Amino acid sequence: MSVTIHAQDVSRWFGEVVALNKFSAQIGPGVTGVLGPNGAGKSTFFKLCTSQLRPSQGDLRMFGEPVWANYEILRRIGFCPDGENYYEEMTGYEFVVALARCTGMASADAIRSSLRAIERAGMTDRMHDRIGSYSKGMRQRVKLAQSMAHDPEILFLDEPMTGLDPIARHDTFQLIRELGEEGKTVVVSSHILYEIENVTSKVILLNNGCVLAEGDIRQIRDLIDQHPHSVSIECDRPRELANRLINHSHIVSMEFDENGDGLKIFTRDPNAFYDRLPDLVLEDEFQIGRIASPDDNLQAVFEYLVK
Amino acid sequence: MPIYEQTYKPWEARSLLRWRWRPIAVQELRIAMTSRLFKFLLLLSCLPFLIFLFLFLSIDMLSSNPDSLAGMVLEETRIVEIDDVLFWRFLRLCIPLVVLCCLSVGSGLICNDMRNNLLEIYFAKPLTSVDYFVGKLSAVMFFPMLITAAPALLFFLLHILMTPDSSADFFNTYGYLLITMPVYALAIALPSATLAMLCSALSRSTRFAAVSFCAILFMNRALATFISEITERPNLKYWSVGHSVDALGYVLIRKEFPVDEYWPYAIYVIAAWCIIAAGLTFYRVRAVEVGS
Repeated sequence: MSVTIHAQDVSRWFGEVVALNKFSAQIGPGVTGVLGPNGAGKSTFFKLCTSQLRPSQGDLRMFGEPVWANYEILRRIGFCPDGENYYEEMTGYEFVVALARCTGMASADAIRSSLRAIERAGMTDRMHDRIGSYSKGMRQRVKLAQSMAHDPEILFLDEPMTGLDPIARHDTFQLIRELGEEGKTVVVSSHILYEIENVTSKVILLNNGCVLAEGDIRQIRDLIDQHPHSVSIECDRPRELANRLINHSHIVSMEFDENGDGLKIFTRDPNAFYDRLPDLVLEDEFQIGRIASPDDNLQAVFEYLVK
Repeated sequence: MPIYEQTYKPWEARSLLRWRWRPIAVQELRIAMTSRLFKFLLLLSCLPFLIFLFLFLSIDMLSSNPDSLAGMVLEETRIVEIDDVLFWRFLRLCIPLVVLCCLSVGSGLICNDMRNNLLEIYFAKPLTSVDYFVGKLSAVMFFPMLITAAPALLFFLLHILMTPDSSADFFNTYGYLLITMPVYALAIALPSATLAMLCSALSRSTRFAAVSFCAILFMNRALATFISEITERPNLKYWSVGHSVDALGYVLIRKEFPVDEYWPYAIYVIAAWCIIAAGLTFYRVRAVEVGS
């Protein structure tokens, strides 16, 4: 595998706060996921990669060259930041073209490639409308289009699925996979395992600014499966529900809430549990008030890995 | 493990190098042109131009026909003459419009980018904070120069073309205006533009930036005049950038100045004002660039 991004002991601190601590990784073409809870250092890593921040320590290279203030390298990078970044008065088309021009493209080239990027992001129909009139999903797509308008070889997508509806999310997954298959280096960050799982098997786990694990996502998934997944359920008859569930082989243990209206289930196979639950509810007419899975946000896996 | 297609794609975009700031300026001008208020302001800015254009054409046409009654009256009374004073009056008339233009374009210039987190998109492109700053400054300066220096030079050329007989004399007497008028226009626009950018960089609200811009300009002039009057030292009024610009207008266009005042103060004050405002703005943008 050829390496496009090479990070060796990269650290960045703000005063006494260490945002990224001795980050080392080698990232090649294809899609790579950066997973971590909020504050793990994902956005800092992206800002270091896009030369918005200078590493306090360490060596960060792309295509073998240092990134900091290297404008030839920056032309080959696309960045889709997290959060709201728009001119409300401009149309989506104007926004994408204007930012494509900032990468050094001539006007005609910028228009041509922006139209292509907008089409890939699925925004052709609404591209001449003001951004102010866009839904959150549309804004996200426009932001994605601006990041790939200049046909960069490396793309950094910071939580690109935030705010997307299921259809847009599916299309975005598809687009990210396609970009990876084209030979581009796509680095996608998220704090949701499911999102990353849909686009790649290569992941880097970040926690508290440190690389916690790196490798195939299936290994992470195995860790999750070894580490029982907890599901909290609020229902009218928790003891009866527990009785119905106890015979299932994937259930490891159960706990009742102190007030008696809640049940916490630990399972080795969350998919099997979620498949079975609706049938149980319908058969015995349980009144379910709330279902929550604290493990969904990876925090439990991180805690487990840190231990 | 998936095997990805490895292809070499040469970079086809041209190198901008010195012109990297241009897309930012163009984008900002486009945004300014979407505002109805700004369009109205531009129309209003055409008014002095149209009045003076009428004046220049009338005088030139009448003076080319001295036998006519109007030509004779003009020749005898010399109510209006095309000279340095007329150009100076035009440029002075444009000062409030320049300030309004800077206020309109400049107040949302940087604060909108900060509020909308656009700096992180800009600085992920091959742009430096210098490119960003120069692009924004060019956008604020464009319209003020368009409504001051451009018409003034046009009037000058128009007069030369319409009075070929006396054009050599006029050029010999007032040829320096071709240089001093754009310089004076720059001196009018630059302090307002840099102040507008500074106010915009220090706030995340366009309204707050606009109000602070007006307050600083007003307070600066009022305070300098007050101190100058109290201490009875006329030179102190040049602490006001408005007074300094006026003084520079006298020196550059009319080549005259009250002898008891030390006019180079005006240059120092304008230069210091612009450097401080630009420096603080640049520092603020740079701080966002590296510290966000």
